[in-house]
Amino acid sequence: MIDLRLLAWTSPNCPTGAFAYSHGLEQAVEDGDVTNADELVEFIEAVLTRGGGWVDAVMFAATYRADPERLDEIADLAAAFRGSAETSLESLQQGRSLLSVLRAAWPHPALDAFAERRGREPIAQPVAMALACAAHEIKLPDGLVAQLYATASSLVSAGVRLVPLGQTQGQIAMAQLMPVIQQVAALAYTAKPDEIGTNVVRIELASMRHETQTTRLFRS
Amino acid sequence: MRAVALDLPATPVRLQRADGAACLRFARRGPSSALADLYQRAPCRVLFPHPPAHEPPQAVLVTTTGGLTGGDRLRVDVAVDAGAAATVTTQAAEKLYRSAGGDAEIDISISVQRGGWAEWLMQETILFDGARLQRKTQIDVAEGARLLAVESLVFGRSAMGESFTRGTVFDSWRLRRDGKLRWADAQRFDAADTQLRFSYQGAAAAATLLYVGADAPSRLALVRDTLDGDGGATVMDELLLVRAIADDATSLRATVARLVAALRGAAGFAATVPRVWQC
Repeated sequence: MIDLRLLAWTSPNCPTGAFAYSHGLEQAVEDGDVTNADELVEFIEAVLTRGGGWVDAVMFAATYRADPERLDEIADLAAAFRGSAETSLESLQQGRSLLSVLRAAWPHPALDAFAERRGREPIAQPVAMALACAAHEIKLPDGLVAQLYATASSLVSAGVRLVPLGQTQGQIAMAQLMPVIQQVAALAYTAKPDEIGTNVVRIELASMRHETQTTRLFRS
Repeated sequence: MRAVALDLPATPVRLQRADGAACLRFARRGPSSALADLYQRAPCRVLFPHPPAHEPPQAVLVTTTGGLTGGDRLRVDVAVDAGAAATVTTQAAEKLYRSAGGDAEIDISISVQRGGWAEWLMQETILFDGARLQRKTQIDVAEGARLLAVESLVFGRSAMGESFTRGTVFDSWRLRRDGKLRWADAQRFDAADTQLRFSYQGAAAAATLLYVGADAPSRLALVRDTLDGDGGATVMDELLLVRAIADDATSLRATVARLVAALRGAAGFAATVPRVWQC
């Protein structure tokens, strides 16, 4: 049975501001590196399998499993594992927003305790999502798939606006990404946070250069 | 060093893997800084050339075997005490030979105390075809201290027309401020995967440069003006992070040298790279 809460937490209705971020895609489109639906799928696949989406998935699993005494260490690593000012903002702003929405709509003492202990320390988006899943006893594999789906879905939506693509092309892209999401979720389930790495230097460079792009729709 | 007899039987010469170390500490001495502690174990050696006037003491790391291969290990610890300054660099490019098994492991630890200035200016690491590198760089910069660090990777002996088609890289960075983790990064890839979309895709060399300190945000414009080609810079709190890639190792080296010179100049030191870089 699908857990309806996961649908709610990954819906565009969930007010975390996801629509405002493109993870460097806006610059990649500007550079001519993403010009059609196939290239959009390639970009998102790179993010999910060996970029920020992969890191977030591993941090999600680690947070979900963390003992209370290791939680701060994982939360610090998840917040620190960022390639640029804008992708940092993307994760940390959404993490804080998500935690506050979840505490209001799906309250749980574990979420309140984390928010209080964290104080002004940064909260990465996958950490907030994983804590909510663990607190509400949603299964880790389901939560992981939802985490990756949220990343993919948000980037497809950005791509539809930026490339631009038709809404149906966006859904075709989403359909193509489903097996990638399943595969990355399985890998993230067993990965060790201190041993993972990324291989998307051109996305990192695009994100850095986006800071000086003259006309911008997105905050990253 | 133990002498090796020339009439040894033809057994594998390098079953014994290298396990080198260099540990350095610099302290403030009156108006300047000086080496306070040194430990070195072959194949690591440290040279201390006379620095030009008004420049920090300089330590030049040498790997006496000329390079590393699978199973070799190096550990480098650099500590810069409160108010001290030091420049650590390498004598030449580090060669990572083809591995017959296992990774070459390099563990680096750099700490800078309050008011200190540390430079970690590594010349290129050249990944021969078949090289396996696992490098972990741990940096702790106290509040009120500053650090300039740069590392470059060259994919294959490009001067000899060789590329990096087999092998792996795991290159991880952890930056702490007074013990608190503030930035983490790791590049992890198999050689073949450098050709994937949005990876290095044909770039022959890549560099990562960090400038850490309260004045890091104010250096962003300078760095952007100095960068050209395929590079980018960003600021996260007191970390200025620069990445550059290039189609050939020579132009990447020129970019890195320009960045180092500009950032040293802005910090009140000579706007040049260490002399050993120019040989």
